[in-house]
Amino acid sequence: MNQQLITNDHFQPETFLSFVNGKKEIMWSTLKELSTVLVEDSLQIQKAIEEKKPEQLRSIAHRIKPNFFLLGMNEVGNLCKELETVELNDEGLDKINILLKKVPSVVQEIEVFTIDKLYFQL
Amino acid sequence: MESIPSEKHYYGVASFIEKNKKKDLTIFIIDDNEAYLHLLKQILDYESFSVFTFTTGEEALEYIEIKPDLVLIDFHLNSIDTTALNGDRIAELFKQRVPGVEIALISADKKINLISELNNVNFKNIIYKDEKTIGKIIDVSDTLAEKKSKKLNYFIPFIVLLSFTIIENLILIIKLWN
Repeated sequence: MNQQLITNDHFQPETFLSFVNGKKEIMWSTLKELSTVLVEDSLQIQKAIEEKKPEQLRSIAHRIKPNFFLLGMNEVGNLCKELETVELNDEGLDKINILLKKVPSVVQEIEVFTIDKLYFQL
Repeated sequence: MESIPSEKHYYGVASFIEKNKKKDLTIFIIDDNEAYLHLLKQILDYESFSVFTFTTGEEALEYIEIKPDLVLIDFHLNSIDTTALNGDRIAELFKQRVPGVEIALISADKKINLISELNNVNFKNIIYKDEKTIGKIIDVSDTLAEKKSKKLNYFIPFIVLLSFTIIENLILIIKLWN
């Protein structure tokens, strides 16, 4: 997994819009939901590591994978795909940490995007 | 190499909604991915549909007396509650308890081996969490909303005419009374 690819993977509003046939209201409300859900997912991943539950980690990775494809972040989605078979060894933990470091910036990108949208509506 | 299932798997649910467009459908959506749960509810939140969302199948089964027409179930449901039953088992329970219920599986996994596993419980409809399917479901919901709206517009002139007739008659009755 190339960490640079993950760092350069950003939220693509056009991809999201094409998923929902250009319906902006569905995109906005789902983005709001996603910004909360992503933080909760991140906490669940950390808990699964602390409790040494690789099966749970794989399960969470599978669950959150489509969210990143929806956001147009295919590299992060593919990272989740790799984590569906992760082991709790050094290599596995490195990959998990890449995801955990990425999540706050994804949430921030969503928040900036939605705040901009509100600003332009005023 | 992953095998992608044929197109017929994609549009089962959209066809079901289209076929039942004159009915008021009750739809259950069961997915432990809350963002997708929210997304699907938004898409199907058409005025004549009652949409109920659940993060586990067990929770949905508690409301089985509502007798849903359509149940959309994610296959992997145990990422939050590790003891939660997976979608195939929940589907069986729904089929046993609500005869005639239409069930569709939601999956982020396009691997054909998963489909083969699912064939044991005879899933006719599988929704993949991808652009193509979500878009198709939105198209169908939009068409239904548009038709409903056109139908209402057709009745508006009659309602206005009827209102005028009633008012006219009331005025006439008042005049005669006086």
